[in-house]
Amino acid sequence: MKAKSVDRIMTGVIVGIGFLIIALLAALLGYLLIRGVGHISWHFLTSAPESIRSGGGIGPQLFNSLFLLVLTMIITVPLGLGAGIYMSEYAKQNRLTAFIRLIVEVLSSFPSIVVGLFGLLVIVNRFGLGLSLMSGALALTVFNLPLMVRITEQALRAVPREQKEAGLALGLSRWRTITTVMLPISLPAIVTGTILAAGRVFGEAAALLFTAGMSSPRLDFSDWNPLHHTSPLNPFRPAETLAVHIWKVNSEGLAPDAAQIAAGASAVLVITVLLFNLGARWLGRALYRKLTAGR
Amino acid sequence: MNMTQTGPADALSKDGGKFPKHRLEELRGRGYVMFCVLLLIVIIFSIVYFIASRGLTPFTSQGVSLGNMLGGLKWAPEADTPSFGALPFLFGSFATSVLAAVIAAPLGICAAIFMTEMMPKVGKNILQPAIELLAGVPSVVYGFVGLSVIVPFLRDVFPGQGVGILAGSIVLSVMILPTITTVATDALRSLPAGLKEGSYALGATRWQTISRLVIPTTLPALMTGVVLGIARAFGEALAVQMVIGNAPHIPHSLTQSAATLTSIITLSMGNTTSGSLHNNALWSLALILLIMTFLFVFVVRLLERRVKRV
Amino acid sequence: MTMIATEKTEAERVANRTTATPSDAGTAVGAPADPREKAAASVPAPLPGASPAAARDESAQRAIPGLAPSAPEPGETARTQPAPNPAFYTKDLSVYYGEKQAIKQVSMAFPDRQVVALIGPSGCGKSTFLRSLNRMNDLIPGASIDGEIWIGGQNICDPRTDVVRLRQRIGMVWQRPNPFHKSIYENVAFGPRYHGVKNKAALDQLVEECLRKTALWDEVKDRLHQSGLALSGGQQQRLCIARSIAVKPDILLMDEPASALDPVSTAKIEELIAELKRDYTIVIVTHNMHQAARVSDKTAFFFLGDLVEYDETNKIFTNPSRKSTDDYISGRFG
Repeated sequence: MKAKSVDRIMTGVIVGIGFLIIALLAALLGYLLIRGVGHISWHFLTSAPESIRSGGGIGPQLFNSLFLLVLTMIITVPLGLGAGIYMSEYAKQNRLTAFIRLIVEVLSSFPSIVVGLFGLLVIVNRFGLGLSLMSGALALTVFNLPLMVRITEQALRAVPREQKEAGLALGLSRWRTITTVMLPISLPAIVTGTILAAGRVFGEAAALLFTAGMSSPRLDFSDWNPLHHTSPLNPFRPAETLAVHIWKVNSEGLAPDAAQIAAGASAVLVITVLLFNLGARWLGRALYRKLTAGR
Repeated sequence: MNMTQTGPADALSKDGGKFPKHRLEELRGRGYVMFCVLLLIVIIFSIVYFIASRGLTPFTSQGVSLGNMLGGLKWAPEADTPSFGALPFLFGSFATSVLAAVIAAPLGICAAIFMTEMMPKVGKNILQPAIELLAGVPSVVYGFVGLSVIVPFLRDVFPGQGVGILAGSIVLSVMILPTITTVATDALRSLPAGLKEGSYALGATRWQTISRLVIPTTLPALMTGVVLGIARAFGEALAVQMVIGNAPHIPHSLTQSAATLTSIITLSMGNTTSGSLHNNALWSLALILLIMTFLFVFVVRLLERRVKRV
Repeated sequence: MTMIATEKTEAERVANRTTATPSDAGTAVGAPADPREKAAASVPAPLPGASPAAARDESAQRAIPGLAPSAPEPGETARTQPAPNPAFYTKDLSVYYGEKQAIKQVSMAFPDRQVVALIGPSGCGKSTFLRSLNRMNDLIPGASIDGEIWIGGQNICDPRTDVVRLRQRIGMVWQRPNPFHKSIYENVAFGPRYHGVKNKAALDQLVEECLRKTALWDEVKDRLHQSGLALSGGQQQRLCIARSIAVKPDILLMDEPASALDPVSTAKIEELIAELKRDYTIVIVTHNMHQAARVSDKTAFFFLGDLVEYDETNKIFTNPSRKSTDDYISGRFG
């Protein structure tokens, strides 16, 4: 009965590893929250960071991250939808399509630091946008676009063929069928995927070091004119995001409470990503229910 | 019989003269999606073009030889006679990513087996969401945890500062675990059910079925996951940079300070002036990263072709 | 015969320019084929409407003249009796999936405002044939089409055909009910609104009319703004029919419309088909021979991509000319 005992041992090992991974995640989250949550306060979330003294906050960084996310998604979503629609509905099965598929795959596997360097070279210097939110948003668009294309393509492919045919049989153009019949059906999947992608954007740092910059000018949170230099809404100002801030505090932070700030900021980041995750699932399900059941 | 050629002006035929609304909107829509795809193509070509044009400058006009860069051990860009040996970084990148895969691959594949063969319920309800969450944690957070947990731990156990290739690999292995697990799970799930049943019918135990049938059959797909993981680890910048120590030489042990391609770029790119030899040499390193990406994609494609054949 | 037909048409055209008369097509297709002949013979070789002038004249008034309400001259009617005017017909229609030929040179005419049932064992190509009539098969990668389908003096297999316009004139109903993921009202109003009916009152009226025609109005009038997916399967299928007649097609293609439904819903759909044939030419694919016998005027038996026999439904079910037809309808295979 040797085979039986080997089987039993290996089953034990594999089940053990399964639970080990679950434990690992629990430990990771537990560590981040226990170390970080104590440091999170209203003051921490809203006040500006201090470079040498302790007691600095992450207010501008948090705002920058959110603002950058919005900017990025405004640019990425329409482009990603367009290219995804092309890949799913218009691309013929030929060499060109295979080539575009390869391109999307390559683009999605570029290291984010390389995308950041490209941003530095082309967007920051050549387009003259400087280290700014806009440069960062464009770099993140490059980084996020392939994912968005894949999400859209898969969501559209999952639409039942009869739905598409029903639209066409009514004498709708292909484009109208896609936008008014198929997209609404695939909306839950697209929304879920987009929010998950947004979580990725929110935590991204490497692509931003050389595009959005590692510093944030003094912001005047009472000035909401996007054209003013100190306005938080000015998209052409440099902006350090939360993720970049964590990196900077860890590697060159001088404040005496750098470790606590990093812990607090990490906790905020992880909680936000968790919320994105849960929000994506919840919203996807809610949309699905709304679109399929009665109004 | 060629009535269509004589072309009756008909509402159903395209040359009806009028330009109908539906054709206009179709044209506009199609134009828009083509524009989006074209943009994708332009982006990738300009990434390759711009990084290559900067990264090749040291070799073409600044007198650095390719052999010296790829084989040289000394990285001293600001010295009186600067030398650009990037071998320590190449070594660091390969060592950390391969070691990370060595740690993560067995774990990831076991997790996939756990989810598909052993406890699908626990797998679907707990392990799968856990893996997805691990994938969602930002890399700087992994770096932070590495710096505040793993490095001190290694410092206590091993001689040295705790930073180095081992710390980097551990952090990276957690980061690439989701990639390997997801690909492996998909591969195992796509296995035809009859195959396993046949093995069980012959009296094989579960482990015999897994080790002699399931894993060999899905090996190319499992390898795809591992290569994707290595690719991700190879390109990861900040988490590694935070825990590797950033010393530009080949370390003598796994717990000695080292550096990778991404870590040196992250550290130095901001401190060099554009156009200087030092700066251009960093672009050369970025070019190496880019070429490695193409290589990884190529290997993944090769493996996928074998998956399809199976 | 062609000459006569053409001359007749020309003369008619001169005599009565305003009435689009489908008599040219009718004459050409002529009397029903000799029952002993293969059904393909019901379309004679010389094409009707081969005179471009005639075709142009008709299309100027209506793109699908065969479908216009028309009163053929007494003499004409007498001469072509008892053949009803074809709404459309195919000639040597072949459909390929890659190398495989799924439909083999099928020629058949569909009489105006009658129900034609397509029967045959699964895989015989009847659905493929149906789906090629509104060029829906174009969507399937690798599918190609050869031959001609003439609708209103227009060969819609011509690559220049505006398929979007074409499909507006040909409604379609699928095996599985596939209402849009929208409200009941929106499901019906969707097509007409796209085609330019913007007026709210007109739209409301049209929705009611279509829902009444499909005997759905009384069941749903209080919950028009609920999702169409909340209806039962049979109701969903009738909603799909309402949706397709809302854009005022001339022809309705139905691909096993009742096969996913319970007997009561099936009976309702069959009643509906009998109602609808007053206004529409209907082609229905069905697996259910009793259904074909109940609802159709003519029946076509397909086997392995061939049109084996095409005749009056009565004839097919009581006295088929071909042995394989007899074998199939008596349940010896399929």
